[in-house]
Amino acid sequence: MRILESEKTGFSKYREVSDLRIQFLCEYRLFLHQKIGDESTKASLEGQRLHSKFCGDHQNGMSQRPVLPLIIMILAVVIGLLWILW
Amino acid sequence: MDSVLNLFLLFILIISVLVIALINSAFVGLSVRAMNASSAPWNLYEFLLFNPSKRRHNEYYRFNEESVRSHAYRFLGRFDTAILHWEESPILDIMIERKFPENTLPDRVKEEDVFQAGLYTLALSESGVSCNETQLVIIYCLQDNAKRCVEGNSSLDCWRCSNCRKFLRRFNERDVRKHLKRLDEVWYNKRNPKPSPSQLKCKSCPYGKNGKCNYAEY
Repeated sequence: MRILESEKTGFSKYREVSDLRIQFLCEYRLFLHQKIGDESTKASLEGQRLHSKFCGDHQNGMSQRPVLPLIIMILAVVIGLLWILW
Repeated sequence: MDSVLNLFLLFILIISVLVIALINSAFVGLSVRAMNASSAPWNLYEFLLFNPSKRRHNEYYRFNEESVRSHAYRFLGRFDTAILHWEESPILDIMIERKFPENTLPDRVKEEDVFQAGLYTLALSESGVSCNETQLVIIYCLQDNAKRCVEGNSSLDCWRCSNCRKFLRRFNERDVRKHLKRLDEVWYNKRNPKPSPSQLKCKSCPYGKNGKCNYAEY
């Protein structure tokens, strides 16, 4: 996720993680990004908007417990026991 | 003889269930911790510095969109989501990075995304957070599906959603430092940047066309 301008205050000489990611992907791509300028695509802008929606507005969809695998495992053991001991 | 056979079958059944449970335990264990995590009432640095009285041991807290800095490597960024808890010291359990590709979901995790999540984790480890057991979770969700989730007011349950792909990687501090050392050579003018020879990367690059870079001379 891109850093906000306000968060750069006092750290203007610090590199951004998003730049390091681009450089990791292709060193020359970051060089072009610095030389020519930002060529943010529509897709990347949409991705940024979705990031803030998923991280900011909601609970990240982590509010429900994964009970289904547990129920299946318990059912399997119970059915197995019934089948063998009946 | 029948009872011996039955007991053997029961034994096989229990072993099978345990094996399945073990295989799933990495993701299920993480899912449980992530789902149990409550949204932290403090920002990350309050959590790390002020030792608030409300903080409970072994309670998992979720932090969203917090900025982190590495003073050793001089970088800063904002992570998507991190799950932490406190024992003797703060412990980072999960670092989540979300990606929203436009057309296709990747079959394998992209190394650059693991590296990105690793950078956030490295910065946190510099702040005194224990990251020895940290798992990096990269979630890929197509933009159209994500938009439907956001606009459709659904529960945004990424952990149980079958439309997105989730990848798990243990944080490897040595690897992140090794990659940073290589990238630093360019940042600090020890060598010129090299174009990647991968056509695949050029296809998705805004400076490339038809799998070739518009600018670089190979």
